[in-house]
Amino acid sequence: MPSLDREFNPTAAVLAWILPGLGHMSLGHRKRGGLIMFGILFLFIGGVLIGGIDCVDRKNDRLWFLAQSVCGPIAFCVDALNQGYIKHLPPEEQLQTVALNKPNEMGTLFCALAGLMNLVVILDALYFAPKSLPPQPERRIARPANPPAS
Amino acid sequence: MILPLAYIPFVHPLNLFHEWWYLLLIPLSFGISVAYKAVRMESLEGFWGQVALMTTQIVLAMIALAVCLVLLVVVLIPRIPQ
Repeated sequence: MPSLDREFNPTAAVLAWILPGLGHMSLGHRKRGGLIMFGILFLFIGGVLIGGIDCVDRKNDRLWFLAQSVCGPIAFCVDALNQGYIKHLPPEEQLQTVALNKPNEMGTLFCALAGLMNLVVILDALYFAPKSLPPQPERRIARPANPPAS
Repeated sequence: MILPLAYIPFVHPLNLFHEWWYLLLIPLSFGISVAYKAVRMESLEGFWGQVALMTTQIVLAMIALAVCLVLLVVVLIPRIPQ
């Protein structure tokens, strides 16, 4: 039966925010952390690929950015690229770099869901319960070598 | 005259999905399933099978929701007396 004892790991939570999955890796669960990293970065990078870097926008989509920012510094980097590059392009070039309609919606949604899933991961790393116990030695009942004759 | 620039990944949006946007539900639910199952499973044995199962469940649930909404909007609401 799995243990219900939970450990409080603020360092793991901070690491999980810095890079999704890093928190679980720091707790010794490398494979689990790698899978978490794959899942969340798949969503985030997929979102940026679909909608372009314009789908992470701190100024115009503030509420969406609130969810996206839980992904960590990667969201702030994409937003900085957006504010520093796309917003300074001439209007005719912005028409090609700013996603409209469904690609914009889906890209924004992918990145926001990546952030919300990372919130689940951060909370799991913060109050980490060991997922599998180390193998327990078998208990042997000591029996007398020569049972007394009845 | 505006000359179209060559497509630059991650800078320009993918314009393939204007009409087929709902197909993006599959990779979306796949990513969610990978992250969720990696957190929730006690042991990672049979991980990808569980991910495939959860992805299918999400997609089927969304299709069922869509069918229910269509029935509500197309069949039930027009029958309400004005």
